[in-house]
Amino acid sequence: MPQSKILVDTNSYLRLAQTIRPLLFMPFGDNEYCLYILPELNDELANRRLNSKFPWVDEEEYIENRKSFPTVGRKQKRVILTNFDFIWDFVQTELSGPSRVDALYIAYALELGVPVVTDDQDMTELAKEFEVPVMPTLKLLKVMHESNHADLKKVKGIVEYWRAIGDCPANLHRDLKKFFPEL
Amino acid sequence: MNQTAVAESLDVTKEAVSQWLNAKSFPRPNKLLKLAKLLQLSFEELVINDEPNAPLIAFRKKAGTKTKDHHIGKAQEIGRFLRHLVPYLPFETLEMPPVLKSPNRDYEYLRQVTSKVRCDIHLGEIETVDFDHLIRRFTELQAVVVPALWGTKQRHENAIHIHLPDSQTTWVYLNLDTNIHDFKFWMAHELGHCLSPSLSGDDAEDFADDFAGALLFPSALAEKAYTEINQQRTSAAKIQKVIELADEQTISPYTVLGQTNKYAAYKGFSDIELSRSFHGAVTNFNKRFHNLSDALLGDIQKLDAREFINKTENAFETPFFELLRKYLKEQNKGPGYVQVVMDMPLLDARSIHSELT
Repeated sequence: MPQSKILVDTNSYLRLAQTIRPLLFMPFGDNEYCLYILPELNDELANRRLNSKFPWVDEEEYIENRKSFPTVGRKQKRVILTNFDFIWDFVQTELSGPSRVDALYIAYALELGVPVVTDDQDMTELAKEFEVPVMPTLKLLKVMHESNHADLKKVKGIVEYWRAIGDCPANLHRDLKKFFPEL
Repeated sequence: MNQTAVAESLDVTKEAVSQWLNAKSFPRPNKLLKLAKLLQLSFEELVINDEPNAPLIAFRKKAGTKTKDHHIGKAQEIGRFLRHLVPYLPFETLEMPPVLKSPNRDYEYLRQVTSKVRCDIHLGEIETVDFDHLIRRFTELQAVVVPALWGTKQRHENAIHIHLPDSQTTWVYLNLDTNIHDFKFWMAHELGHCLSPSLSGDDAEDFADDFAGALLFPSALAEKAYTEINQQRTSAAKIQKVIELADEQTISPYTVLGQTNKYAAYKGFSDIELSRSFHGAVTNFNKRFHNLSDALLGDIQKLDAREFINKTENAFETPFFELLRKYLKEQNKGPGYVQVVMDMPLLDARSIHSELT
């Protein structure tokens, strides 16, 4: 069965990777879901100057797990760059908020026909504007839970960790009620 | 391909396509992209990108770098994001700050202009220009200083000056990872830009450079320096004198020598020529000083976002973080906005975002 690829944005990666290990490139469930990042995410994590809540991103285990990316052909790459030009122009003129890498995620997802996981409200709006399926991190956790990839205890631990470090997704309360009413 | 076929392919009405082609309406972005794919056109081929109020950019480049279109394009992207902060500016928006009528590089003109600026910032003719003086003038000129940590090597520029014509606002990005003397020169250089918004390109850069030199080491000091340096008998003693004068003013020895020779040229005197060992002496001189980021922020790796904001906010009296705080909260913006507008790595942007919201 072919993989069902899902792109995970940087914020979502940071919220999950330390608890669900390895987060990326690890198929799960009957649908063979597999989470990917873009190579540009590694650039995003590099060169930080200030003290960070996520120092673990520099550990070998995580660096190694972030070395696999969705494969795209030359023609697809060209289409992705065209997509990006239109998406980034829209950000520049109408929807300030998403970064270049955020826009690139939408450009990839559009060409590859895969969903993007993000909790960023502007990125969600951007994805919807270009008809790219998008889901919050808690929805992804729901998919993982239904695929026996993350039990309720783990999900609860993740949410508690977000609250503890003050890094909660937008709409946490609403999404928890929707996807995990039992928590 | 006719309009009906286009409409069918894009799943819109024929009237919608007609309105697009007659410039009565503009397609939603998803339809625009689909249209481009249908017609096999790139963004540049399909869309007339007419932007009358495009952000105006000036760079303080690093030595040996060349400004390319992508450098300007990236700075303009930042400028477009900055527009959203304008409504939160604490400045009086009804009046324009005073600027120079016809800025030029004539020696006597620059002497007069910098003398007036010194007077405006309550500084004597030969008193040392301090960071505080420059910062105060930025505020009076309604320019917003944005502190940046761009490292010592990675970047093409060490300062960016962004002017938004539609709001007549000015934003000055200054890289703190830099030698204290260079930083002071850039601040003075950026002040030159703020005073001469009518100039652009190389004219703007050249004027800002000359303005900075004349402000930091004015004609009266250059006149005295010319005599004192020439009184030294050996080349080594001349170099030592230049270094001493630079030390007195906390500016680069290159500025001292450059301004002294400009004075000499104006008076028709011969240049002061120093031996090659001058460059080595400047390097040793610079080693005595920390980068501004080290001096101001200490060990940055241990610095959290709150300390970074507090320290730079105090040092530069900048309203930038307060604007950002209000905008992020009111508009519910994420770290992506901070990342673009501060041109910083995402993890740092997340830390700043988390602190401000």
